[in-house]
Order: sequence, then C-alpha cells, then structure tokens
Amino acid sequence: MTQVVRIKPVTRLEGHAKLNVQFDDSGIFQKVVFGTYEPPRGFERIFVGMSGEEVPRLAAKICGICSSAYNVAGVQAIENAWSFEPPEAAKKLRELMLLSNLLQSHTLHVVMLALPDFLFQEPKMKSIVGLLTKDPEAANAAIKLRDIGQKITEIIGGRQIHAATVVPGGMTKPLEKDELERIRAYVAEARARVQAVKGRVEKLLDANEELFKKFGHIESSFLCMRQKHHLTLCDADLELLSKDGQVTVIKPQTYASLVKEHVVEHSFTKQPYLEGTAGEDGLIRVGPLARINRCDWHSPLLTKFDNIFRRPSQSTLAYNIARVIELEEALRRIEEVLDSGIDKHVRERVRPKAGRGVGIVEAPRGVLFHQYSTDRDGIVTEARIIAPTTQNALAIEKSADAAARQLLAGKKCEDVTRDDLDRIEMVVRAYDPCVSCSVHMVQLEQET
Amino acid sequence: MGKNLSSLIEERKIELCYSQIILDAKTLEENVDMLLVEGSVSTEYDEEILKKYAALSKKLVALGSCACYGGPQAIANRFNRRSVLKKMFVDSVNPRRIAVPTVDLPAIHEFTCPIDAYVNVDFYVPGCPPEHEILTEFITNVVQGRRAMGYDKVVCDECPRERTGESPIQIRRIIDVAEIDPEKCLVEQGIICMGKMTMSGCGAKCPKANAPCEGCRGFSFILKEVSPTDTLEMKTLVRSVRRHDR
Repeated sequence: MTQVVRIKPVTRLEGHAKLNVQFDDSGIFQKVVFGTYEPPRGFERIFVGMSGEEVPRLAAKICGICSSAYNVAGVQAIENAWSFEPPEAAKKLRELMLLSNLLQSHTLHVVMLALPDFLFQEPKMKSIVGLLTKDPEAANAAIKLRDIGQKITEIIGGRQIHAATVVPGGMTKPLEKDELERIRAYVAEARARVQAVKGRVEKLLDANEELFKKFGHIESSFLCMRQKHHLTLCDADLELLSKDGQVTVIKPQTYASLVKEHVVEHSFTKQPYLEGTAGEDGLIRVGPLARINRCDWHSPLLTKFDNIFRRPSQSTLAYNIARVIELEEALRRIEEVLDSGIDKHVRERVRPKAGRGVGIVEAPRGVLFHQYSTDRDGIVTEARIIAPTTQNALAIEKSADAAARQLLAGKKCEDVTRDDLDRIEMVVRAYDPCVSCSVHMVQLEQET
Repeated sequence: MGKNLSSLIEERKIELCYSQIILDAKTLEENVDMLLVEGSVSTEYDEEILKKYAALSKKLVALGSCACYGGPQAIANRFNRRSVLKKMFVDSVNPRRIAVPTVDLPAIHEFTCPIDAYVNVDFYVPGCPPEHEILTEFITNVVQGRRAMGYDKVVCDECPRERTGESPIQIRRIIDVAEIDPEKCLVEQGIICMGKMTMSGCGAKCPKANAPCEGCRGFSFILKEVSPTDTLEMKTLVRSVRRHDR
C-alpha cells in the first residue's frame, strides 16, 4: 500500500492547492504531487460573444492581486487584433500601472507570505499577524508599501484594484500635474520602506546562504520578457534562457505555437512545457528569478545576488531575493517614466476589425499571455490565456519533490514532522503561486 | 490587509482564526463570531466546506460580488458546463489525452452559485472588490456593536456628473467616442453606464475616472420600486438555476 501525507490546503498563497507526499509500502519516500482543486471558471468561454472593449475590465477580474497585468495584457491583445497602436502617453500610464501593481504584489509576497517562514518556528506565528507582534516595523512597512502601490494604481486607474480607465484606444483619463506630483511623493515615501524590507531580507540571506542556494533546487530553462536597461514589464519580445545558457528570442506572436500542455489526473491546472527550444523535458520557469537572471541593470543587492547565486541561478529560494531587487528597481523605473514626460493625449478612436491579437506582459509572477480573435464588429470569437502560475506548475511540483527528497532522506513515513511539511510548502511559496489564475489555458474553437 | 484591519488586530479588537491566504491554520475547528466568505460555490468541496464552516460561525458574511451574486464565473452558467470542461481538457493540445481530471479532486457542479444558495447569509458586502473603506466600516460597526449600514441609493446619486434628464440621441460604443466629456452624464453622451441601477456605496469611482460604471456592486434594491416585474423575473431566474443545481 502506498502511504500519502497530505498538505491541504497549502496556505499563505492565493487559491486552493494541495501537496501529496507519497511513500511506498515500506515507508520510503517516493515523490511529491502538486495539484489545484478549484475548478476552471470558464473565462475563455465567457469572453466569446462580448465586445472587445469589455475585455480589459473583465480580464482584470481573473486576479485580484495582479489585476493590472490582466487589464493591460487584455487591452494590448484587443488593440493588436485591431491593428491599433495606442498613444505614447497611454502606454506610459499602463506601464506605471504594471509597476505599481508589482510593488504591492511583491510586498505582499515577500513580507506577509514568505518572510514568516524564515523567522518563526511555531506554525501559529508564521503570518503577518505574527510579524506584527515580533517585528512591527517590517510589518507596517509592508502594509504601507502595499497601500502606496494601490494608491498609485488608483490615481491612474480610478480604482485600487480592477482599474476602470483602460480601454482599447488608450486610457479614459490623462495624468494631471497634481496627480503626477502625488505619485512622486508616494515613490519617495516608498523608498525608506523598501530599505526596511531589504535590510530584513539581506540579514536572512546572510544567515541562511546554503538554504537559499540549495533547498528545492532544480534545473530548468527560464522564460521572460527581454529586459532593457530597466525592469521591463511590457512592450518587448520574449527571451528563452536554456539550461546550457543559450538565449533564444521569441516573438510574442509565435509563443503560443511553442507551448504544449500535459493534462494531469490529479490537478485542474495543466502542466505546460515548451517544445523544442527548452531542452528535453521542456521545463520552464517564469517570474522574478527569470527576469533577474536576464537583467542588465545594476544595484548593490543585485551584485550581492550575483556573488552568492551566480547568474543564471537555478536556486528556487532565490526567487524571494529577486523580488526584493525588483521592488527597488520598480521604484526607480516609476520615476524614470514620470521624468520622461507624459502628455495629455491618452486616447484615440479605434475601429474594430476582424483579426487575431496577442498581448504579453510581465505580471509580478511572470509572463502573462492573452490572445483574442474578433469578428469585423470587434466581437470576441476566441480567447486564450496562459497565466504565469500555469507555466510554473510543473516546476513547482519538481521543486517540492526536490525539497522533500532533501528533507526526508532516510526518514520513514511515520517520522515526518509538521516542520518537514512546512518546509516543503516554503518551496512552493517561493514561486508566489496564484492558483486561481492558474486554472486556465483553454483552447476554444468558435462554437457554432 | 490594510492599516485599518491590522490596527484592529494590534488593538486586539479582533482575532483572526482562519484564512488560507494569511494564516497557516489548515482548518477551522473552533466556534467563531463571524465568518467572511469570499467567492462562489462551484464544486462539491466548496459546498461541503462552506456548510461545515458556516455551522461554526454566529454570523455569516458574503464578502464581495462573487459570494453575493456568483461573480463572473456565474456568467458561464449560460453554457453547458460539460462542454466547457471537455473543450478545456480533452480538446486541448494534450498529448497524453487525459479526460477531465478527477483523481483526488472534487466533482464540479453544473452551475456556479452565490453562497446563499447553500447557507443563510447575515450580511452582504458586495463590490468587486468591496471598497476597503466599506469593509473597514462594516467590521468596525460590528466590533462596536453598531448596526451595519445599508445602501438605499444608486451610483448616480454619488456621481458628480451633470445630468439634464435628456435621453441620448444614440447609443455609442466607447471606442467610437472621440472625446468623453468629463463633466456630463455618460448615459446622456450615449455611453452605456450601469450607475442608474447599481447599488451605491463606492463613491462612483469609475464615472469619476471618466469610465462607465460596470455594475460590480449589483442591482440596487430600490429597483424593486422602479420595475417590480424585472426584479421578479430576475428572482425567478436565480431560483430556477439554484433548484436545477441541487
């Protein structure tokens, strides 16, 4: 009889996921299985029959945490289908929304969800509530940073979550001068808080270098948007970094044709892989680690990252450090965009036409792909979405398996402790999985 | 979690007992004063855990429009669930040809429903997402033993846009409108805005951002007075969907 130890639900992540740790009949560890048990919501079907201008706002509802990423990828895909190029100012405002979204999402993950794993032993303490009692300064810095991220989104998008202003053609409102100044003030305020977070994380890294380097380590290819001289979240090609260090540029339009997917019996999330370019198993990872592995900007923490992990790094827990590097860089980039000047011409009339369009952005968790076809009136006839967590699904399972192998060597099933299980979860958490988003990836033909 | 909520925790006005996304507790075992439920019910597991936890709580709150009304995923109730799932799994690029996954997974209901299809709800806090001011106000009211607020107005009542009462000459798609006048009523400019029938409380944030209201807070109850037949039909429809699902 196979014995199974279940972790259900995996906590401190968005959505419903489980881990089954399997042992053979003599109690020897065999493997870990990662699955999600919330059903697909059918968004790709719901879009069909809606007009293209309804897509961005409905797409945003797919995720409450990375709402802006869905919003922008959705609008880009529709505009692409209609062969429309939005005004420069609209592009800049959308980029700012992606950056402020990343600011709040990364903060949520690093401080509220991941940090407690490294600080506390007792399960009851492992949360933002525990952090509030033990390190109120860090906890309150995170609460403030999230607040700032959402306020910037509100200034541009009209709402803190699920922005209202993004439409095919541009944005419904420009950025007024006083609003720009408010964003500047928020960024200045955010700086000190990011330093507080960074200080904590650096200390943990110094104290647990081996853990960060080796725990849950797997080998994979990495996929991200081509990073320019700044944190790049939109308007660029994709890059695939293979295990042997080769870099292939992938055009947004061709990406979907490279993705194949395994349906697995134990999960509503499919496990995609890349055909051909990403090695034999096609295993890829997306997200902060992929972006940091390919970025060419500079910061002291990035230098430290290089010294410890040596880019390209395959260390799963390095995802957490990559997020902190990006927090700093996001603030710098927001200022850079503001400094570049944003004029008031943010929207134009746009004529729908029959076509297929692709929109790709870097969501906080990685590459997010949207593809829509519309008829000549701009009514959606086909929709396809590939979420970052879906692309990481296979890697999450493999990393959890690697972690369990490291922890449970020589242990019998009955000797497994709560602490062992918590540590396996910690590796899953490094990917900052968003399970609700992951149960997607549908190919729908037009229904007749 | 924002400053307001964390202050309530720090001041020990409230204690969080269970929350998958914030805490590590794997189950809720003890009795609690209040259970806030997000999301709609789509699987056997959802139904089972909702009923189990509702029984442990003195008061039950439907938090957000998914819990209150079903949310976007309930739009998929219009389509045959089996065909949606078949297309998702069987007809996808799927070399191993596995049908809909079932191993150690809950059965999927034919319809997605709001939580009050299964349990009695004491408070509804709608919105997508609920404005955090509203959530804070709600929790503070409850903590201080005050009555929870109700909303008896529509979004238009909170909207600063100027209305003349004239009907638009023609309905226009927002992509066709070259300039949206930021001062005038959107409907009077021919743009479809849901403000007139949507429950107030959000402060008309979307119209203030020069974008139409999408009705995320749900139908206003004053609609009953406006058009009893419409509401009746809505209710019948909701009821028949729920009956079908059971």
